[in-house]
Amino acid sequence: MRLAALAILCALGSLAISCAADIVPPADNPQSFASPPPGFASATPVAPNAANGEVAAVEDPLQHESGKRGGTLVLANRSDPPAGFDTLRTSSIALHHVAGALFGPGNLVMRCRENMYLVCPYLATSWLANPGFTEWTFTIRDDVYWHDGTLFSAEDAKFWFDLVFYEATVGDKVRAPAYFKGELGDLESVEVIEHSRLRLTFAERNPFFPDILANPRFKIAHPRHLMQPRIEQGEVSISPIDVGLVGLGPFKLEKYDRGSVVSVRRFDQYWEKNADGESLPYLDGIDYVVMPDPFAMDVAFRSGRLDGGARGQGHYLTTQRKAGYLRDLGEDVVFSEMDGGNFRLAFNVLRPGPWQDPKVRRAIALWIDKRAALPTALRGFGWTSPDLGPPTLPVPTHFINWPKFDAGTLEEKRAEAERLLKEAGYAEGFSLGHLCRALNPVPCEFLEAQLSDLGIDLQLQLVDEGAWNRARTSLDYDTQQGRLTPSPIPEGTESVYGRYSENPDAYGKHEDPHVDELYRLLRNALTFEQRVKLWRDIETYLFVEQTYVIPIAESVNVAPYRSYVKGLVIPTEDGHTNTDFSTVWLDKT
Amino acid sequence: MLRYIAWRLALLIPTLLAASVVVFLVMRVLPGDVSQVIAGDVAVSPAVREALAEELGLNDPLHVQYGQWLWSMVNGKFGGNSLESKESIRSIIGQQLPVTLLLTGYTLLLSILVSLPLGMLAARWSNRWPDYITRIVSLGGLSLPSLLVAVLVLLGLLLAFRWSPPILYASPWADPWTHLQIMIWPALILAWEQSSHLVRVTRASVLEALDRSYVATARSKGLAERVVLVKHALPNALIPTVTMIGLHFGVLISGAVILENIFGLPGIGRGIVHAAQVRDYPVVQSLAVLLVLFSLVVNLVVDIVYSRLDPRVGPSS
Repeated sequence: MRLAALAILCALGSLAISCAADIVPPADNPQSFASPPPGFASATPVAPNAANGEVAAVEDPLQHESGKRGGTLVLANRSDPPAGFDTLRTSSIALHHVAGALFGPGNLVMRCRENMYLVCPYLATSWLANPGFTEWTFTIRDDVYWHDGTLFSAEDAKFWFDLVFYEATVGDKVRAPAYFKGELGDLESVEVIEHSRLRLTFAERNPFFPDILANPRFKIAHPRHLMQPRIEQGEVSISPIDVGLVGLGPFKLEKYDRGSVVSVRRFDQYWEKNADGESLPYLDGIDYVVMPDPFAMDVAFRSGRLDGGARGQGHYLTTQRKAGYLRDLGEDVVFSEMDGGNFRLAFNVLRPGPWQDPKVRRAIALWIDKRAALPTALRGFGWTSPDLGPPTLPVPTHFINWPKFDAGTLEEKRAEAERLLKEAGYAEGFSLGHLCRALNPVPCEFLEAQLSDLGIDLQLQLVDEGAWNRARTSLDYDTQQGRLTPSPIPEGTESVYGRYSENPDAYGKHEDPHVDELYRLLRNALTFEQRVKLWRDIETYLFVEQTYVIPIAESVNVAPYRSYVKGLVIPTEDGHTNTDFSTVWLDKT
Repeated sequence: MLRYIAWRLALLIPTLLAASVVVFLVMRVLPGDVSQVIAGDVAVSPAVREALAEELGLNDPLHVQYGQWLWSMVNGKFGGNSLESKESIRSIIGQQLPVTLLLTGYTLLLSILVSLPLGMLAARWSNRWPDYITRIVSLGGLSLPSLLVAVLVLLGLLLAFRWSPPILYASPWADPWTHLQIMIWPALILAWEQSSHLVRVTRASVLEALDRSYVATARSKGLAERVVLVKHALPNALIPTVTMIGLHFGVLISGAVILENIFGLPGIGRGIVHAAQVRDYPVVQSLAVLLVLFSLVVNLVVDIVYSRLDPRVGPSS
C-alpha cells in the first residue's frame, strides 16, 4: 500500500512535492530526491541582482571544497530574541536569525540550500502520502541529538506537533497553540508508528504539506524530555529559554546576556556532513550582538567589529549606507541580496468610499509611477518595469514572479487612469486614508505624492508597531501596504489575498466568493501546469480585474558581510531561510 | 533628621502608587497588545491570538491585572515576568539597573567635577576670557541634542581612527578597560549637557555671593581671595547648584535612554523603550516605577544635602 502511494506521489512529480524512497542525506545527493518539476529552476538556483535585474548563480555550499575549521563569526542581531526564543510564538527575525544555529534550519523537512523552492529532508529521512493526500508519514532520522545528548525521536516530533495544534490544558491553565497552526492544515491526529515513524492525518486533502512544513519559521525548539514534565505540573507557558535553549541545531548555547549578546558554540554531535563526509559546522561559534540601532551597526561593521550585519527591516542597507561601507571597506565587504517582498497598496473595499468601485482602484493602479518607487520608497534597492519581476529572469523560479500586467508607457497608463476615474464619477478626486507604519513612512509619503497629482488626497495614519499589528487586521482603515512575507507556494497566499472573514490579516479586505473558488481550484490542481495557470488566473483577478491589491515594486534586502566570510547560503528571498550558518567558514589568517 | 527622612520615605509610597496607576492606564490606552506584537509580521488566526491573550492574562479585567502586578511588586517578584521574553523582571532589572546606575553615576560625577571649578573660575574672572570660553562651551552643551552629538562622535571616531567603541558591554569588575572604552563616550556626552546647566548656575550663584556683605567682611579681614571664594562664597552658592542637580535628574535619565540605544548599552533606558514598543506591560510598569523611585530618592538626597548646606531650610523649617 505504501509503495503504491509512493508510486502515485512520484508520478505526480509535477507537483512541487519532494519525496524520498530511501534514506538519502541531503548533503550527499539532493538531486536524487528533489528533482525539480517542469517549469521550476534546474539545479542551478538563481538570486536577483538588485542593481540591474540580472541574476547571479548561487553556489551550492555543500559541494564546495571543505571550509577551514575554527573561528567565531560575529553578527549583529536586530534585538533580543522575543517570546523566550519560542518558535511557536513568533516569526520575528530577531529570533530566527539566531534560532537557525540553535534549533537548525528546518523541521522534519527544510528548504533545500541550493534551491529554496525545493523541499529537502532534515530531521526526517523520507516521507510518504496516501493517495488522497490526507495522511503523511515521515521516517525520523536516528542520529539526531538534542544539545544535552538525548537522542531525538519520533515521540519528540509528536510532542512538537501536539504543541503546535492543540491547547495543552492543565487545571484551569491553557497553553495556546502555535501562531502558524492554521497554515499547516486541519490536523485530525498525529501518532508514532513503528518507533521511528510519525503519521499525521488531516481532515482535508493536504498535498503540499511538506512544502508548507519546510517554512524555516517552523523550527523544533521544544525538547519533550525537558518540557513535558513541567507542562504536566502546570507550567503551561514554558518556553525554550526556560529549559536552557536545548536545541537540535549545529550550535549550542554558550551564554545569553540580555541586551548584549547570544553566544553559541559548535555542537560536536550535530549530524549534518559536507560533500566530503566531514562534519558540520565549520565555525567554532557565533556571537550575535544585540544592536537595535542600524547606525550603531554600520559604525561597528565599518570599524571592523562585526563580520556580518543583522537581518530585518531597518537593518537591511540603503544605497546611501551601502556607499559608506564601500568607501571604507572596498573589496573587504560583500553584500547579500534577497528578494524582500512586494511594495503594494491594498484596499479595504468593505469600508464605504469611492475605492469600492473597481474602476477607481484600477485607475490608481495605472496612475502610480512604479519605477519612481525604487530610489525613494525602496531606498534604491529593488526592481520594477512596466511589469513586475526581474526583466531578465531566465526561468520561472517560483510563483511570485508576476507577469506583465501593466505594459505600456506611463503617459498611456495615466491617460487611461484619468478616463477611468472620470467614468467612475470622481474626476475631481477624493480623500483616501492610508494606514502607515511609523517605522518606515517613506513609502507612504511616496504614495501620497503620487496620488496627489491624480487629485487624491492620501491621508496618512502613522501608527507604531503595536497599533499596526492591531489595525492591519481590522476594518478601521481605507488602504494599507501590508508587509507580510507570503509563502513562496501559491496555495500559501490565501491568508493574504483571501476573504476577510476567513483571513483577517489579508492585505485587501474583501468578501469576494470568487476568490474562494479560485483558491479551491488551485488546491485541487493535479499538474504543475494547472497550478501555474490557476495562479495566473488568481493574480489577474486580484490585481487587474478587481485590483484589490496594487503590486508596485519588488524590494531587495541587502545585508553586509566581510569578504572573508565564506560558504554563506543566501536565500533567493525570505531572510528567515538558511540562518543555521553551518556551511560558513572564515578565510582569514 | 531621621524622622524627616522616614516621613519623606513614607511619602514615596502614595507617589509611587499614583505613578504606577498612571503608567498602567497609559499603557492600556495605547492600541495593540503584546500578543499581537509577539507573533510578528505574519498572519495569525483570531482564535490563536485570543488563546495567546488568555494564556498571557490579557483578558483579565483591568483591576485584576493591576492587582496582580501590584502584588508581585510587593511580594519580592518585582512585577512578575516579562510577557514578551518570559524572563523574570527582577532578573531583567538585575542586569539592566547596574548599567544605567553606572552611566548616570559617571555622568553626575564628571559634571560636578567639571562644573564647580569652571563655574567658580568663570565667576572669578567674570567677563574675561576664562568666562567667555566657559560660556561658549556650555552654550554648545545646552543647545546640541545628545543624539546628534553621539552620532557625530561615533562618525568622527570612525572616519579619523577607523575605530568605534566595543560592541559588547563589560562590567567594570570583569573587564575595566573594555568598560572604560564603551562607557566613556556616553558619559562624556551626557556630562557635557549636564555640566553646561550646572556651570551657568554655579557661575551666577558665585557672582551673587561675591557681592554679599559677608564676602566683603571676609575680604576686609585680609583673607586670601582663594579662601574667600572656596570657604565663604561657594558654600552659599552651592544651594541652587544642588537644587539644579536634583531637578535635572529626569533630563539625565532621558538622555541616558537615547545614548544607551546608540552605544549599545544594555541598561534600563533601552529596556523600557523596547518594552513600550512591544506593549510588555509589566516590564514598562516595573521599570517606570523604578525610575520614578530613582528620581524621588535623588531628590530626597538633594533635600538632605540642601538642609546641610543651609540650616535655615530642612526638617525644622
